[in-house]
Amino acid sequence: MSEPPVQPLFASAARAVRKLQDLGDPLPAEAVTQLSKLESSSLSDAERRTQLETLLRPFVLLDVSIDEQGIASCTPGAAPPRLVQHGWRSFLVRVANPHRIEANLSAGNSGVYGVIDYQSHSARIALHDTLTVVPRIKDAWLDAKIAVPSELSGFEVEYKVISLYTRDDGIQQGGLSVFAADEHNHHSLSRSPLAVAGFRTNFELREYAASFDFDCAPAREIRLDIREPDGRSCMAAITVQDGQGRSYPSKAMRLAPDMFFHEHVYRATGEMILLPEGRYRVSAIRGPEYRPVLLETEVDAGTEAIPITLDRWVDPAGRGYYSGDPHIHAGGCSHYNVPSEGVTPETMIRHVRGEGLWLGSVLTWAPCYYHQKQFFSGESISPPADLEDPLMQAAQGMTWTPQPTDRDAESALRYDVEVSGFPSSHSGHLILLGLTDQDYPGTSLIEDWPSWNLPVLRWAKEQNALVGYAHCGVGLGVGTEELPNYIVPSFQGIGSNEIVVDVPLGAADFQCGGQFAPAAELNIWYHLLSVGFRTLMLGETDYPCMYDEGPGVGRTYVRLTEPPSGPQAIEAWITGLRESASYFGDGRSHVFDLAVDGDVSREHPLDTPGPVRVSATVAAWLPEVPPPPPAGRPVYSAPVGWHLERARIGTSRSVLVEAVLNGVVVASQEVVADGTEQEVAFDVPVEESSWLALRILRSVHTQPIFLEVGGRPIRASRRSAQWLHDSVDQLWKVKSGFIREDEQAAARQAYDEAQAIYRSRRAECETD
Amino acid sequence: MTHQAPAIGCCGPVDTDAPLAVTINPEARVNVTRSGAPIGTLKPGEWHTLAVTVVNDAFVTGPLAVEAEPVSGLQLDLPVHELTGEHRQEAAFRVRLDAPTVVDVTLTFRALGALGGLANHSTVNLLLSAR
Repeated sequence: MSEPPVQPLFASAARAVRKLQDLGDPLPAEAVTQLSKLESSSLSDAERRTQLETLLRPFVLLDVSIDEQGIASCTPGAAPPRLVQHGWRSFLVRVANPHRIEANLSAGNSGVYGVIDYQSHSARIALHDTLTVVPRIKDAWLDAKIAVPSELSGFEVEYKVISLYTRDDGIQQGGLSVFAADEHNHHSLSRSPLAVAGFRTNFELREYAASFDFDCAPAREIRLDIREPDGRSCMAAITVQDGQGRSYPSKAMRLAPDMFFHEHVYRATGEMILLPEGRYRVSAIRGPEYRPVLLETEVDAGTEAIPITLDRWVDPAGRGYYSGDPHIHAGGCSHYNVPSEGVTPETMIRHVRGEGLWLGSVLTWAPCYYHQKQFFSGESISPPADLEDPLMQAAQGMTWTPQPTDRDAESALRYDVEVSGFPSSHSGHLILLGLTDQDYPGTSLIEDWPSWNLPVLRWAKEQNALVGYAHCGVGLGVGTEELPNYIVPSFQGIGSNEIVVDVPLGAADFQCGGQFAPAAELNIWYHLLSVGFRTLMLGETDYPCMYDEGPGVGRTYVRLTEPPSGPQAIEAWITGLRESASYFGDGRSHVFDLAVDGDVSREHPLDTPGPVRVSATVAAWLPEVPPPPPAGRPVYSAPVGWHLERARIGTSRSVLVEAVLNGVVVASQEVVADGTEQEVAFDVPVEESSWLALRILRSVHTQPIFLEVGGRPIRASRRSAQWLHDSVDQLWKVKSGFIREDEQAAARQAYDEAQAIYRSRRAECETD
Repeated sequence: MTHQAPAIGCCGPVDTDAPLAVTINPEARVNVTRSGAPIGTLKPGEWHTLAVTVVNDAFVTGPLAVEAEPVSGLQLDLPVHELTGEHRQEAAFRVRLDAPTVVDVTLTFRALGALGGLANHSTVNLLLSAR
């Protein structure tokens, strides 16, 4: 029999090595480099196969062999079975599968029952309300799981990853076994494929489990003494890695409030992290208003605490600007494979505080709607950052007590609704902020809601809610970075779709963005502004759907006379959005006190055409040189969305501040992004009623100041009116098929009314 | 034309005879998984069609593209599938192996161009065998 081809072997090895990296337990860099070189070397296939197996052998904990009945027998590999108490370690598994069985691998061990819901990324117990399982977890000292993808491809040899947890320290004897659940040849009506595999394997007379003397390093709770520069206690995002790049706590399994999709965890001053003795790199940050603090520390027998002083570079609240993220979620998307529940307000407030946000709008949406809506109260809340399921967490080694901080009252949550996964979602996802009632009249199920957006918006506005569109740019890209442009988009996605109908009818207040290409996001906003509408734009994250990093990746700063706090915090913030100055972006640059002729009002009427003096205070911070590229990448590339790094001019530390009049850049000035406040000023000629804003793309954009000349409304672009009119046609073409037949007549009438308004405004425009 | 789909029930496993199932969640994120359906053995030099069931919970319209890193000896015919916004659509692509062999190919599915999936969930690896 000829040797199997080598390409699938390398493909599976590369996947397993990447998985170890993703789990925060990477192979040594030298081994990864050698693997990469070997994959592309000119050696014979046989020699490459031999060298690959030799290279990876020291990291293989478990050798698995699957016979023709699909029974997996295990023997210890060459990797030292070293674990860490109350933590997870991940290793390679080599699977010999000569009969090419396609099956799903599961890990078993002695002494642990199947009480963890492995289908859930939240690592919740399978029966959420049955905490009686906790003693069983506490009594089990070893847990194991095969990392996804756990399916055997059917190739003769492939590599997988196994993660092991130990509760205890010292030398512990234990066994590991693997079951291969074959869905393709499953004939039992009473047992699942996994149950059949376990049943058959357990009745084997031969030894099928591998035995180990696990060497489990003791871990202790180390206190994190996190401080603001002024000494106050606070919540922050803390990342701890050892010299091999392993993350603590391991990402192989994290319990809320720690998320497996984060490198960091959120901890308050005085809270704990479990660490074995060793040397660690610790980084700490509290959102983009802070520079990352990096330190190296040794944890030994005498270590009780790690002192960390945060490094704040800008304080917008000190200037009267208060941050908010109008779009975060407590369930769905990255949180869970079983997204119907999500996390509690106590976890969400921890994340919001850890990013230094004043407000986080936790939006209930389809996958988690019926569970999460219980947290809606119609008021802003600022609960203690307690742990979810403390018994369960204690059983996993999280025995620390949540600590209050000096800054807790400066962050609040408001539970509201995103109309996503509802019948009208084809028309764009609505964000409804400041609701007093979260159930559309006459509905008991999501399916009962209207199948287009305008009725929902009008119902929400009757509650004095601020309403608008989420992730505005999705489906609105037209293949150009030109801004403004006049290409009608296809409206293929879930961006600001029906906004072109709702704004002229007075039913939509804003759109949210700061996530994608500016041309896709800003074009529709600029056109609405240029025909005289006062539409707002907000920065959002859509955490953890669009962005996983944390709340406040996209954020909005609103100028208020006093901090938003108490049950009416969101209402105060909304009032500020409607009446006062605000800006949005990534929080790495800020525009304070934007003024026309010294006036910071949103409306600045002019008696006659002529020049105006535009001024503002700008602050931005970039590291002196661009960050080094991540491992495996030739050059640093900033994240996909908005990030000040993408505004860096060449390799300098400067960025460009632009003044925009009716969508067109009319002046600009470079500023050094060194964190200092700098005054910018421009003389801008105003020939007609106009809107004016400042921006640093892709980092910050202000709301416009409206300049009506001689009392005439803004009618600055005939082409914008035409674009909006034509967009309504395109929208109807693409979306009307999703509107229920009994709602189509009303929808068509609204579309017609919107187009009539655009035609009227087009006729009133004096310039093209 | 009205193709109003149930708004809930998203994110669950897809009942299909196709080897691959693509789901687009309400936030337009793409998730692809191998179903239980077998791929079968290819004949060298002949095109083999692989069916894909698409469940679209986001009403997304426009192209659903499939991308793959090149693998020696493997030819891929990956037509862009046009999403109509309907809740369920059937798509397909073709594969051909030049000679008797086994290859491991990684496929990434993308809707809306810029939007990928959650984590690596929009990516799947397939073992293709020709005898």
